[in-house]
Amino acid sequence: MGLYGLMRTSVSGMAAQANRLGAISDNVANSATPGYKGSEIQFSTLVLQGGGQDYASGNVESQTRKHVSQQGSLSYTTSATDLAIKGDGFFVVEGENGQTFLTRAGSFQRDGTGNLVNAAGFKLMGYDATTGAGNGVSNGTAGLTAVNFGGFASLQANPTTTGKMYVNFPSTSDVIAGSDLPSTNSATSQYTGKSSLVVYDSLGNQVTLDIYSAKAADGTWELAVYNRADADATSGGFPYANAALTTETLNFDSDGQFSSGSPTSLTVAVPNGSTMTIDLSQSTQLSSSYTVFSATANGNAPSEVDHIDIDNTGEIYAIFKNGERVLAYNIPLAKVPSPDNLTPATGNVYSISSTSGDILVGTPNKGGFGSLVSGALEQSTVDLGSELTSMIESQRNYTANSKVFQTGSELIDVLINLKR
Amino acid sequence: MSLTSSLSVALSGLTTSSEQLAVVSRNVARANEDGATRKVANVSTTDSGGARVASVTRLANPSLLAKVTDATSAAAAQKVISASLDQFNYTVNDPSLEGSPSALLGKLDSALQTFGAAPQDTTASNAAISAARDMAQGLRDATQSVQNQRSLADRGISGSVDNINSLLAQFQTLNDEIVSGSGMGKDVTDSLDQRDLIVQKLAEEIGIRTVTDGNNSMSIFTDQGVTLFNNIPRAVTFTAIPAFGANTTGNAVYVDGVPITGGVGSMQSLTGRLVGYAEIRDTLGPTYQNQLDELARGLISAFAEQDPSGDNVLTAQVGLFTYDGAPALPTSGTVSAGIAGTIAINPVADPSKGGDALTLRDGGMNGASYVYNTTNATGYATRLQQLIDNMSTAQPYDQAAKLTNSATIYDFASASAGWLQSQRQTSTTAADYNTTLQQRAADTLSKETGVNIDEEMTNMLQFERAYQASARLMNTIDALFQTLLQTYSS
Repeated sequence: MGLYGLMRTSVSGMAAQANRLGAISDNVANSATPGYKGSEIQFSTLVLQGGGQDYASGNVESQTRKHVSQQGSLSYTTSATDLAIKGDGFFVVEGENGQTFLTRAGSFQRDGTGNLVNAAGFKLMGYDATTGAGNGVSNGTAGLTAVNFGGFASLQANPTTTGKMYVNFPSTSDVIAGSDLPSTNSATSQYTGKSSLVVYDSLGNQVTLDIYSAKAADGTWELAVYNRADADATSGGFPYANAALTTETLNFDSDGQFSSGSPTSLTVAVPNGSTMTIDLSQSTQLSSSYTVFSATANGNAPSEVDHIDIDNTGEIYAIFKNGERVLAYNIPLAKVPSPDNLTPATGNVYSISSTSGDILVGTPNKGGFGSLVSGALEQSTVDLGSELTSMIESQRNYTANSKVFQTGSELIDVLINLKR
Repeated sequence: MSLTSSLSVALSGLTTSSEQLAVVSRNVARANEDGATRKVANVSTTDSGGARVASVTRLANPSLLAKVTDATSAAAAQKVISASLDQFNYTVNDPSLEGSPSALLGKLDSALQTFGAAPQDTTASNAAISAARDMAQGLRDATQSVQNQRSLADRGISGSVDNINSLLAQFQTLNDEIVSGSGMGKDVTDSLDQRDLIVQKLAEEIGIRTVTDGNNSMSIFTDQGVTLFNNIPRAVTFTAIPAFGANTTGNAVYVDGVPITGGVGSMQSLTGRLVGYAEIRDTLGPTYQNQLDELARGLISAFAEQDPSGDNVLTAQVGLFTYDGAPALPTSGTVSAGIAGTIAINPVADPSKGGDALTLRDGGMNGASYVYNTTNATGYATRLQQLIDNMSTAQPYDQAAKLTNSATIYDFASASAGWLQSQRQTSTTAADYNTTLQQRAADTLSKETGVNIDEEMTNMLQFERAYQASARLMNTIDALFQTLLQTYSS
C-alpha cells in the first residue's frame, strides 16, 4: 500500500482523537448542567483489502455513544417544584412551537401565566385531574395538557360531605321522657349530651350543627341535629325555629356496642350545602361520662392556593392557605425501548428517532417507571476525573498519530532525495 | 463512585451538620422557657448516598400532659374555694377577735345571767342590751361579708369567662397556623408548644379534655363533653350581677348553649377556677347564709314576747330582736332568707334610740298588754329567767342549713363554726394534694420532653466533629483534583 496509505491512516487517527476531544469538551462544559447525559466516542476499524504480502493500513472510524439511560446522582434543593426522576422515564415537555419532547432536566418553576417551565423554557405536561384522571393513552401523548396553576389563583370553597363523631353515651344517665326528647323541639326539651360540629355550605359559609343525644330508654339513644342559626334567641337552644335536620335512634347491646341493625351514621342535609354523612361507628354506650373522642368534618371556607406539592407518583396537589390539599394534575413519565438512541436537541431535551423505538406513557413509581423526587435535581452524569484522564489519553494518541504522519513524510523526503 | 459525587455527598454532610446545629441552638435558646420542648432534627439518607434533615420534630408526651392539665384544673378549683372560705373565716368566724356568732352568743348569755341576778341594776340592763346589739350587728356584718364573697365570686366567674374567650381566640390563631403549616409540611413545633401552653392556661380556668385529629387540629371539650373548640371557638357566655343579696341567684355560665354551672342540665363542669367560684357563689355561700339566717331566726323566736297571761289569746310578737318583717314572728323551722341581714335591736328597748332598757326585764315592747311585770316590781326576774331558759332550749331548724334539725341556739352556732372549719379543711387538703400532683406531673413532663443543656452540649460537639470531618473530606477531594490537573500540565 505504501507510505501514502500510512499517512492517510494517521490522519484518520488524528481526526478520530479530535472528535473524541470534542465530546470531552462538551462533557466538561456540561459537567454542572442538571439532566445532562454524558457522551462518549467509541472507535472502530475500517479495514482495506490488501494483497497477499502487502499490508494495507485501514482507517479508524469514530462513533458517538450517548449514555442517556445512565442515572445521575440527585442533589437536593429548596424548591418543591424541582423534580428528579429516580429510575427509568422522562418528563414530557412542550417547546415554544408546541412540539413534544422528552427530558430529565426538572428544574421547573411557575412562570407568569402559571405554567411550570424548566430552565431551558420547556413546559411540563400532565393530565388535568379536575376534569377526570386517566384520560390519556399509554402509547402516545394524547390527553396531556400543560400543567397550569393560573386557574388556581382564585378562591376555592369546598362544601362539607363527610364527618365523623365518636362519642361515649353515658349508660348510667337518666332516661328522658318521650315528651321531652330533643326531637320534640319544645321549650321543655331535655338532653343528656350536646356537641356541635362546624360544617361548610356550598358558598363556604360556616354552619354550626347542634347535635343532641338523649337516652330514650336503656340501650336506646335518640340523636337530633339542629341548625344553630335557628336557635331560640333567649334560651340559646330549644325551641328551634325549624324542625330537626335529622333524627336517628341508636341501639346498643348489653356490652355497650352497637346492636346489629342499629344505624351507625347520621345523614344530614346541610342548609344551602351538600348532604353529609356523620360516621358514628366507633361510638359506645359505657358507664362513663359523655365523652367526645373525635369530631371532624371535611370542607373548607374560601381560601387561596398557597403552594403546590408533588408526590413520588406524580400527583400534583394544590395546597390551600388553610392546609386543604386538592389533587390538580397527574404527571406521567414516558419511556422508549432504547433511550440511548434518542435524538438530542438544544435544552437537554430529546425527541424520538427511528432507532429509539415508540413512546410508552405511564404513572411514575409503577410498572417499571422511575419515581419522582420533589425538591431534588438530577445532576449531570459527567465525571470530571475520567474526562480529564481521557483528555490526557486523547492528547497522547493525537501526538502519536502525528508522529506516524511525520515519519511517513520524512520517508517520502528520503525517497525524493534518492535522485540528485 | 466518582470524585464529583463524593464532593456532593461531603457537601450534604456539611449542610446536615449545620442544620442540626441550628436545632441545637434553638433548643439552648429556649432551655428556660415555659412549655418549650426539645426539638430533634431527623436525618435520613438521600438517594445519592448523602444525608439530609428530613424533618424537625419535638418530644411530646400527650398522656402526661393530660395528667398535668387535669391536676391543674382540680387544684385551681380547690384553691379558689379554700381562699374564699378563709375570707369567711377571717371576717366572720375568727375566734381570736371574739366576734364570731358563737362568741357573741356567749357574751349575750352571760350578760343576761348577770342582769337576771340583779334585775334592778340599770348598768346590767344596759350591758345586756349592748351585748344584744353586738349580736345583731355581728350577724348583719356576717351576712354582708358572705354576700360580698358571693359577689366577688360572681365577678371572678365573669373574669374567668372573659379569660376563656380570649384564650380560645388565641388558640384558634395557633391552631389554624398548625393545621395549615402541617398541610404544607412546615416546621410547626414552636406553634405546637405555644398551643400546649394555652391549653394549660385554659385548664386553670375550666376542666378540659383535648382530642387531636389527623391534620394536627386540636379540639377542646369540657370535662363533661361540652364543645369549647372544634374548628372554631364556641361562645362562652355569662351575665354578671353587680350586687348580691341573700335572695339573689347567680346566672349560669353557658358554653356552646349548654349550662355548665348552677346545677341545671346534665353537663355540669367539675373542675377549674370557674367551678370553684360557682361553688362559693351557688352552694357554700348560700348554705352559710342559711345558717346565719337560721341563727337570727332562732334568736328572734327565743326573745319573742308571748301572751303574758299564758293562755295564748295574744299572738306572739318580736321582742328584743326584731327584723324587717316585725312584729309578726318568722315561720318556725324554715329559713327566712336574708333575715340575718336585717336583724336589729327593738328600738323600744334601746336606750340610745329613746327606748327603755327595762322592757327587757318587764316585757311590754309590743304594748301594755304584753307587760309581764304587771306589779312593776324592781326585783322582777321571771321574764329574764324565761329568756335565759329559751336560749338553752332546743329549737327546730331548716335542713337547708345542712346542720342539725334541732338544737339550742348556742349549739347551732358552734355547729355552724365547725361546718365552716371542716369545709375549709377539706378544700385546703384537696388544693394541696392537687397542687403537689400537678407539680410532680409537670416535673416529670419537663424531664421527659424539656431541654437538657448537657445533652445539647454533647450533641453540639458531635455535630461539630461531623462538620469538621465533612470539610476535611472536601479538602482531600480538592487535593486529588489538584494532583490530576498537575499531571496534565507536567
